[in-house]
Amino acid sequence: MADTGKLLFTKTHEWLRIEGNVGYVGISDHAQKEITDVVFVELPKIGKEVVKEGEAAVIESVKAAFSIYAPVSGKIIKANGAVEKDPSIVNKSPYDDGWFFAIELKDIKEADTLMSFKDYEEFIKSGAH
Amino acid sequence: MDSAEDRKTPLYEAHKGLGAKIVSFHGWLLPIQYTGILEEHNATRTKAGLFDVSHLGKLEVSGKAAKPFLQKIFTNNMDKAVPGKIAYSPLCNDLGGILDDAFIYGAGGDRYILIVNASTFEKDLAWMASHNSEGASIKNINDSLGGIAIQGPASEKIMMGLSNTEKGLAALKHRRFVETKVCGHYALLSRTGYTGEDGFEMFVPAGKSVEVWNAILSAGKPYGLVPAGLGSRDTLRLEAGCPLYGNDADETRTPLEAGFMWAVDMDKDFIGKKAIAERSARGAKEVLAAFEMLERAIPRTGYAVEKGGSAIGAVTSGSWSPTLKKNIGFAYVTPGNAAVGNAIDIVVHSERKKAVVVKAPFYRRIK
Repeated sequence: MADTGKLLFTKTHEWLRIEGNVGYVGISDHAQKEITDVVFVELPKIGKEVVKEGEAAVIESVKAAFSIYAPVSGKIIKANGAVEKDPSIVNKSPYDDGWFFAIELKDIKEADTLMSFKDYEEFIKSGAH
Repeated sequence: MDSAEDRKTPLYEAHKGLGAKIVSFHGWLLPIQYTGILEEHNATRTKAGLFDVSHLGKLEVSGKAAKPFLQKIFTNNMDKAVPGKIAYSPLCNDLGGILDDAFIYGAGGDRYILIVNASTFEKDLAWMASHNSEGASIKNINDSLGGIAIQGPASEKIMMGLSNTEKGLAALKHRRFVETKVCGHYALLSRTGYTGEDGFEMFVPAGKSVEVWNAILSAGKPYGLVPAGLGSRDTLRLEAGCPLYGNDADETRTPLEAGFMWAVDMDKDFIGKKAIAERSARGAKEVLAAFEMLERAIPRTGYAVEKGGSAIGAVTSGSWSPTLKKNIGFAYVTPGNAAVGNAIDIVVHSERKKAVVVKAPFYRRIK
């Protein structure tokens, strides 16, 4: 299990892990449970510019399709082909092997509005999502 | 998600105890999954799955007037519902529009048991009451019975020790039923299902449902039986090419469009016959076609279907197929585009994705 203390969360259930000027993005354990078995992942192309809160990827479960929003703005520099090949990784390892893509951060200050794991847990409990 | 109107099946607490994720489905609180849709799907295909089907509508029609009444309202011939047999039939309105599709159990002695969709139960009841000039007795037996389905290749072995049918379970053939005992309680037991697998459906006294459910679960444990929810029920029925009322058929479609003409007897009189005959002579505007995706994309209900950039219809059911490992669906398309092998496009997230019309069912079990 990844150290959730290093992760920042969005209200749309993505997480962001910042390493230098690069941010890795995935979805929370809560989200993967709600979505149920992920059977399809469509990742953005390398080099694509994404904007904070804009749609960056699509994942689908047996039941429905879900948009993945970029937690911060920047350029896509990596995409995790393993989850496209085997989408069940998203359910098995949401915080580690199940990451989707990495963004070269445009402005690290954009991450200031994101929640800590503790705040995110409170957010889920509040039922406001 | 839960609305105050939603009803609990007799098995509700048992589902909670098994850790099910509960959803609202046509006014009923039912499990969508226990451990995972894919796992439950695969268990049903290879071993066995246990489903709560208590939400299905249950009616008893009886008396001397029962058969003439059913002959009039159903498109299929009720001669097929001889004692011990089950007839399948659309229920149509005067315009030939499909109000519902039902299973009619011939119980003998002018008694018939009807199993209808949960979503249409109240509508069916009202329709039947207002078209009963024959004076048949129509009894709502919904609350008195719970429903359980066991589906999958291990079903017969699991049920063998639990039911005491006179001639043994192996003698109960497909689409046949017996009124017998399961775990010592009354059961309307049939060799039927909605998954494309061998299996049984049983309606047992509501108050005994939990006892029967638990007994089957424990008897099935050595065989790999798992409780299975609505999520896998939907993927299993789609692979098996079973249309879902409300998605693949509704009041705006006649049996001609929905592909139900095999269950319509044009040699007898019934409500909607004239309209269906006229429609047949004119030709259907759209027909239900099965398709599979050639490009990586999951078709969903409502997605547009195109041919050469022109709209030709819409998807009514679609999913990733866990057994076939491809994306499949049903769509209403213009008759000229329904031929097997026809190349079509499905518009997925604003992008055209290639698909091809195929023959249903998508999946057929090896007997």
